[in-house]
Amino acid sequence: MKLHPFLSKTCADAGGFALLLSGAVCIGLLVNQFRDHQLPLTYVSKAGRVEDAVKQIQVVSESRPETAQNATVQSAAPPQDISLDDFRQYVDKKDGLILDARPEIFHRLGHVPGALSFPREDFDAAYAKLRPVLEKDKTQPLLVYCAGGECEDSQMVADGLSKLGYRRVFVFKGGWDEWDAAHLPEEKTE
Amino acid sequence: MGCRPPTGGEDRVKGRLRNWILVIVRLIAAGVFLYAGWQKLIAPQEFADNIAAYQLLPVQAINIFALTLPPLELIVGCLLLIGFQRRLAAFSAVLMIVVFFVALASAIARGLNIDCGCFGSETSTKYGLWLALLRDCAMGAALLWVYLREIAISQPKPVVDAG
Repeated sequence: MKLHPFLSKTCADAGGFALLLSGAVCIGLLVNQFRDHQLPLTYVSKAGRVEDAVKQIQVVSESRPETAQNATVQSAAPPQDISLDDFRQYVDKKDGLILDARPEIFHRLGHVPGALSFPREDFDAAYAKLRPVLEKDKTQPLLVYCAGGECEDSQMVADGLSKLGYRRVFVFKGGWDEWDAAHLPEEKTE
Repeated sequence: MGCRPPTGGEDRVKGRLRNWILVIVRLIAAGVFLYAGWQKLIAPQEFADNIAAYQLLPVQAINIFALTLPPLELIVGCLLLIGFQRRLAAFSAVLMIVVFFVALASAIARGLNIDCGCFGSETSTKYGLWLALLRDCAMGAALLWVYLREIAISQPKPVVDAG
């Protein structure tokens, strides 16, 4: 049976596309091999990645004699939501630590005064960097915020910190959007 | 006033104009595909999160798709840019746009408020998916025209029997 010329060309192009697709799979996998942070072949959700980081930190903490004792004593307390007014009081009094769960680039562009960058995506690296100030007092208030609106990063970071034994973890759901909309002071990192 | 029948000269001008429009459409599409592919290639985890937000693919397929689509977009973008295998490039671009259209339309139909993920990680806006869908339709229509033109060009010219 002879195909219509249009159909025969489309079939040939479909075959060509299949070849391009195969090539793209090979290139994609090859490029992934040379990345600093390789993407695993099976997807892990954002919350799953934070949980993995928390488990890794717990394993490392348990292996360190100075923190092993604390790790077993403390129990997790669920994070609580706080309003802009309450959050502002903590910021003004410089009571506790303010953690910015947004990607670091956004933190550099502008953040709540005194906030430390704690990007959700690099939970383990951020925790390792801030470990001395965090573990100095596990009962100090930790106030976490992200972009606001639909952003879930602050909740995930807060949940992770809570699992690591921090007892006073708060989530400012309004986040940067609400802070910025209220024309409150901001800091920039050079 | 009656219409004047087109002369050979007018046909040539129209043909040239059409060819220039074809080239411009192809180059714009190449730019869009190259930019989109590069943005996804440099941030594969964010792109995988964007794909997951559509809730269309099984977990096992998300990262493979996130690793495959950027090189595919870059290859197609390069082919469109240099004009090599133009018909295949246009076909591949149209096929990908159809897939994006289905994903976007299904997300809108399910009321998902997500980042389109078309050009790497963006912030989700109220009409973001609708705008992406409109952009997709425009690009799809333009590239389909390019593809159909390429098919017409590649048709063998009918042999005129002089008698």
